[in-house]
Amino acid sequence: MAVQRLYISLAILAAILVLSAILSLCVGPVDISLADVVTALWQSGQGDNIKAVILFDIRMPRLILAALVGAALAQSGVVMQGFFQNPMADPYIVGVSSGAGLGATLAIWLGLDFWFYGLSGVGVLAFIGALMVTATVYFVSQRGGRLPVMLVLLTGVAIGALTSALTSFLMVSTRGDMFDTQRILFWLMGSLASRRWEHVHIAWPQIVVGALFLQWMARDLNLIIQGEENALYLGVDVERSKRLLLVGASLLAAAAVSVSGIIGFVGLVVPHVMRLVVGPDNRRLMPASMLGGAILLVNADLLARVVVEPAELPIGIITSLLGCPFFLYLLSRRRDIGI
Amino acid sequence: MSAMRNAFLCCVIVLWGTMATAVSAREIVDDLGEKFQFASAPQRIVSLAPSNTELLFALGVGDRIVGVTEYCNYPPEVASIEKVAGFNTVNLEKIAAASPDLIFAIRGNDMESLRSLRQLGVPVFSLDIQTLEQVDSALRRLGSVMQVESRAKELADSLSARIRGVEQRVGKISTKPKVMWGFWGDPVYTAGKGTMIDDVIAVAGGHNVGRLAEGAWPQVGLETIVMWAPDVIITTHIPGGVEKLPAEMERLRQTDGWKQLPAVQKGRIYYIEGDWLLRPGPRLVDALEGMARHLHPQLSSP
Repeated sequence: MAVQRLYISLAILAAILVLSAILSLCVGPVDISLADVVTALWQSGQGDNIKAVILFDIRMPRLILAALVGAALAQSGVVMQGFFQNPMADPYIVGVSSGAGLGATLAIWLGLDFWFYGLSGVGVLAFIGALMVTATVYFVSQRGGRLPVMLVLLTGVAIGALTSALTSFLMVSTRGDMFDTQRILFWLMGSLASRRWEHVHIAWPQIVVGALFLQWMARDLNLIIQGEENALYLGVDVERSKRLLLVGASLLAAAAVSVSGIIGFVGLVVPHVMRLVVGPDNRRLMPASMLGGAILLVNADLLARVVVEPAELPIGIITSLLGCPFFLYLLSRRRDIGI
Repeated sequence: MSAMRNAFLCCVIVLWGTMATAVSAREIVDDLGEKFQFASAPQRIVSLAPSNTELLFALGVGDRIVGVTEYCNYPPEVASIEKVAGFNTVNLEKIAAASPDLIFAIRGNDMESLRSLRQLGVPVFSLDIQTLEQVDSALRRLGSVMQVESRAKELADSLSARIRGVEQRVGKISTKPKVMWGFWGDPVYTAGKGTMIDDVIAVAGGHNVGRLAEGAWPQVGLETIVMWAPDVIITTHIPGGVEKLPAEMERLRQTDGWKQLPAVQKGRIYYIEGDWLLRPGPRLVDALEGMARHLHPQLSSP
C-alpha cells in the first residue's frame, strides 16, 4: 500500500472523527445547535449560561475521554493480536479486565470511599487490580527470562477465569447491599456517564505516552510477527521487545479501564476492521486503529446518552450491538484475515 | 445583689442559647456528614430518589421540584415533572438544563454523578434513612433546608405518634411471630440486619428470621427457610399482580419444602405495597401499620 493512500485513509478517518465529535457535542438530551457550539468554542467557555456549562463541563470531557479510551483499547488490541498472533486476542487477554473487575468489585464491596486526583476508589483499585493480575500472568508464564507466547496466553486465560470467579464470589457474598450489586454490574459493563475533566486529566498522559510508545515499537512488532528467529537475525532483542510490548499494551488497557470500566469489543474488532482498510503493517495499523477506536467509542457514547434517555445505557452494550453486525458483514466478504 | 447577678446570668444564658440555636438552625448536616448553610430556601430542586420526591411533596414543597427520576410515581403530580435520572444513572445534562439550586440525593445514588454535580456548583443534600426512627430527624432537617420548619414538625410529630401507636398496641403481645420478607423465587433474597424492612418488622412486633443470616440482603436456600420456619411471609412483589396471591398460595401448598412452612400451611402470606415498604418516605408508616395488622390480626387497627 502506497504511503500516499495511507495518508488519505488516515485523513478520512480523522475527518470522520471530527464530524463524530461535532455531532456528539450537538446531540444530547438538551438541544444545542451547531451555531451554539461554534459560538461557545469561539468564546472558549465565557459566560456561564447553561449551554456553555453543558458543552464544556459535561459533553466535552466525556467526548475527549471516549476518544482517548477508544484509541487506547484499539491500540492495545493491535499489539495483543500481533503479540499472540491470534485473531481472538484483545486488550483484556492477559487479565486486565478481570483484574480491574476484581479491584473495582473489592472497592465497592469494602465500601471504599476515597478520591485520588479525581479518580474514585473504584477506579484506583481497578487500575491496581489490572496491573496485579497482569503481573501475575507475566511472572507465572516466564521461563528463564523468556516469555513463550502460548504460555502467556493460557496462563492469562486461567488466571482471568480465577479472578472472575473471585469477583462473582464477592458479588453474591452476603455483605453487599442491593445498591452495591447494581454499581458492580454497571461498572463491569463499562460507562462514561458522569465523567469529568478530572478523569481526562488523569487518563490522557498515560494513554498518550503509552500509545506513542507502542507506535514506536511497531517495527519490532512487525518483525516478531514475521518469526521470532528472523527478528533476532535482523537485530531485534526479541525478548526485551516482547516484554515491552506486553507491558505497554497492558498498561494502556489498564489506564483506559480505570476511567471507563470494562468496555468490550473495541480492542478486538477495530484492529481487524482497520487491517482490512490499511493492511497488516503495524506502523500503519496502529494510527488507523487509534482513530477507528476513537470513532467507535465517540459514536457509541452518543447513542448511550440518547437511546434510553433520561437514563443511560452502559456503553459496552452499544459497542457490541453496533460493532458485531458490521464486523460480521466485513468478515462475510473475506476469505482470510491475516494478522 | 445575688438576685441581680442571677438575673444577669440568666439573661446571658438565654441570649447565648438563642444565639446558639440561631446559628445551629442555619447549619444543617446531611447524612453524608456534609454541612450546609442556606441563605434562602431552595426553589429549584432536583430529587434523585422516589422517597425524596415523596418527602418533598409531604412537606408541601412539591411545586419546587424541577426534576425527578423515572421511578418517581407518587404523588400523581410528579407525572408532569421533568425526568432527569434513571435507576442508577443521573443525566447531568438534563439536570444542568433545569438549573437547580439544590440536588436532593440519597446515599445509594451514583457517587461519580454526585461529585460531578457538586463540581457544577450545585449543593447536594443527601439522606440515608435506614430506620423508622430516622424518618423523624430527616424530615426535620429537610424542613430546615426548605425553610418549612413548622410543616415538617407537624408531619414528623404525626408520623412519630403513629409509630408510637403501633408500638403501644403490639407492646402488650408476648408472642412474636417469625416473619420473613421475600419472594418465593429463585434465588430467594431476604432482608437481614440493618435494613429498613428489618426495622419495620421489629417495630410491628415480629421477629425477622432474615436476621439469622449474614449481611443486609442475604440470599437464602430453601433448606434454610424450612429451618427458619417463618409463621408469616411478607412479600412486596407477586408476578402478575396481587390478585394472583391466592393462586400462588395454592401452588406453594403443593410445592415440596414450601408446603412445610407454617406460613404456607396457615395461609399467612401477605402483600405489602413495595413502594410503601421499600421507600424511606412518609408512606413507610403506612407499611408499618399494614405490617402490624398482618402480624397481629387480633389487634384492633387504628
